[in-house]
This record gives sequence, structure tokens and C-alpha cells, in this order.
Amino acid sequence: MRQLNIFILILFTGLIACKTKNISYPTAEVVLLSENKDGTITLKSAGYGKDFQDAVTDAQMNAFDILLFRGIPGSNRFKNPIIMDENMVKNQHKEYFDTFYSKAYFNTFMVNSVVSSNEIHLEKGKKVFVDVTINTNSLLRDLEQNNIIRKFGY
Amino acid sequence: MNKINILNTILLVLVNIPLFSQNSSTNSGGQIVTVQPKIMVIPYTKEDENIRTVLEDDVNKRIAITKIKEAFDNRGFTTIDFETKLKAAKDNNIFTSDNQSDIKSQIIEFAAPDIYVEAEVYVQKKSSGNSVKVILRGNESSTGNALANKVGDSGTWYTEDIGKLSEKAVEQIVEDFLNTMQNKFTEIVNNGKSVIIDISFSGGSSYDFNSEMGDEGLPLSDLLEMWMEENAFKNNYHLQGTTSLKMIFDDVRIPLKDQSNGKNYNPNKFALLLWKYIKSLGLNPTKDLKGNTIYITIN
Repeated sequence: MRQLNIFILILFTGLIACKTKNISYPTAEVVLLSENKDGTITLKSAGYGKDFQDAVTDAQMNAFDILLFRGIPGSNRFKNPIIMDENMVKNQHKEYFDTFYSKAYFNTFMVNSVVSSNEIHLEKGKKVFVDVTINTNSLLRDLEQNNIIRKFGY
Repeated sequence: MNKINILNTILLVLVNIPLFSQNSSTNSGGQIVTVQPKIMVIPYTKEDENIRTVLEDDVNKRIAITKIKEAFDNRGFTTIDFETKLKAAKDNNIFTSDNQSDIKSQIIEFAAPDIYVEAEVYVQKKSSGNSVKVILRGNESSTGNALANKVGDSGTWYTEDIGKLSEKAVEQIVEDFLNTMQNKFTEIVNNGKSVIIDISFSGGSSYDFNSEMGDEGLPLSDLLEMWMEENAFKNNYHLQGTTSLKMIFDDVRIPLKDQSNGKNYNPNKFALLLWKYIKSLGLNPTKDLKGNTIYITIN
């Protein structure tokens, strides 16, 4: 009996460990506010997190994610994604994107970041809107220099 | 044994001497820079307009062309200057006709851009205000393949500053236009550049495309198509048509880089491959190259 209980416990633990991992994708709640002649673009981006600061950082990262991999509807220059094949490029340049997101390298292209909404309380965590201004010229140059994207031409 | 060793050594040395030695003055240590397409921005002209003077006569067109060239400059890309080439063409007396369509072709042939971007500026003046529409068309010179097309609109304003409206219309579309071109360039990088191959016989030739050749005695046209099937990049080619005396492949893809050594590849190298094959059939070909069109004449 004791052996049966141990077996059931091990089986149950194993089943829990095998459950499908939840995969979360960034939200597309990013809209164009303005596209400026100096090469900057200002986006209103939604962010989610367990606390206010997490939500703000999430909003900033979402703005870059959508600009790089989805495109910005209404933009003259960026209505199509800068990088077409997200998975392939992220796999080929793991180190760059690790630095970009985890080590907040994206901050170096963020000219301005203003929280533009009150903190929205959710069942689990917080939501906030942030107006993010990105220096797209320097972002594109950096992507070219690191061979993430090609310069104009062949 | 001694003589054999000496002979082997001599042979070994000879085999390793390259046909052409690298000049030390130009030796880059193996670095390769990808050859970029040559792009020229030209004004659109109507039948009654003279492409040789259209820019002199209209400052709004000059503003539009300059804004487009500025957009290329901002992407770090140098274009061929149309006005400089026009002046050189006049100095070289290349214009043999007054027909505007011929003149445009002659300028494009003289300047030899791989791609030309044609800018059409249309001014509308109404009592409710003025507006400018700009149509941009980017085409490959040799094949006519369209790379990008956009229409820009300045919107209607109460202003006589048509130049400013031209600028506005161009700014509205030029970045998107360049992005579309870049997508086409990516397709070219991945799937090859288009060339046209025109094969024909000289007047005195005793052969035609029905002549049976090769080990299997197949018609020449079939042998050539089979060769193209094997040698076009990623098997990507289109046969426009064949008669007994002419065979035209109107779109054959060749790689931008030699797949065996990573060096730049061009239509002339592909023409040489084809020339060698036709020669191996016992025929006597000559080859000519005009832009991205290969002409093979079999004598």
C-alpha cells in the first residue's frame, strides 16, 4: 500500500511536470502617434507586468518588438516590419537580441518615454500605456552594422 | 627515379601557378565587396516634352528629383546623376533621333543604369487650392521588371509654392518606395538577378535550332534548354519562344555571387559558360553583352 502511494505520487508529479508550457506573445497594442522628419517615431504602447515598473518596461519593449517584427499601421516608413522572419533572425542572432532585451540595450535608441495613462489594475498585475519615442535612424544603423539587416541594395 | 622526381616537382609547381597573378597594388587580402546596382533617377516626359530640357524648364520637377535622390543618399546609396549623364551624352553626340521615346532609350543605354526610377510630377491648380501628385516607377533597365511603384499626393493647399507641394508629395511616399525596392533586392539576393539571353544564327550559318547535335542527336534548341535547366540559378528561367533561327530566354536568373568561391558574379561570366557549352557541341559562337542582355550568335 505504501509503495502504491509513492508510485501514485511520483506519477502525479510527473504528469504535472509534463503539462504544456504557456507561450505568450507580445501584445500588438502599439499605435503610431507621430513620425518625425528628424528620423524619430513616437508610439503609444501598452505594457503588462506584475507591478508598475514591470508594465512600463514591457510597454517599451513591445514598442520595439512591433516596430521590428510587425510594422506600424499608418506609418509611411515602417508600415512593413523591419525584420521579416522573426524566428530565423532571432535564432541566428541570439546574442544580439539577448543584449537588446534582457540587458536593455534598446534603451540606447529610446529618445523619450512618458507614461501616458494611469496604472490600470488587472486581476493579475498592472497595465499601463507609455508614449515611446524611438530614434529609428540609429536603430537601423545598428542593425546594419551587426548584420541583422542588409544595407540598402544587394 | 631521379628524373621522375624532377618531373613531378616541375608539374607540381606549374599546376599551382595561377593564370593571372594578383597585383600587390590591388590586393585586398581576399575581401569581397558586393557589386551594387547602378540606379538613376530620371524625369517622366510626355510626348510633347523634351527630356533634354525638361528639368531646365521646370523647377518643380528638379525639386522632386532632388528629394528622391536625397532619400537614396540618406540610405547611404549613391545614384547616377541624370543631368551629368545628359551633358556627357550631348558632348558625345549620342542622340541620333528627335523622337522622345528614342532619346530616353539612348540616355538610358548611354548611362547604363541597372535600374531607373522615373518621376512624374502632376500639378493641379483649382479654385479650391493647389496640389501635386507624384508617380514613382522603378524598373530594371534590361528586363523591364517593375521593382516599385508609388503615387504620392501633397493634398490641396492654398499656396502658390508648388515646389513645396512637390516636396510634400515625394516625402509622403519615397521611404515606402525605397522599402519596396529593398524587398525586391532581397528577392534578387536570394533568387538571383534576371538576364535576357538572345541566341540566333548568323546569315551564313548552315545550322539552325532543329539541327541534331550532341551524343544523343537531340535538336539544338532542346539541348540548350536542358543546359539552361541545369545552370540557371535555382533552376529559374523562362523561355519566351523558339523559332528555327532564334531562341529567346526572356528571364534567366543568375546568382549575385559565384556559388563556388563567393566572388561577385555577373552576366558576362554566365555568357562565357554558355559560350563554352555551345563551343563544346562543335559550333562556332560569338557573344555580346549589352547591360543584362546576352547575345549569342552561332556562325
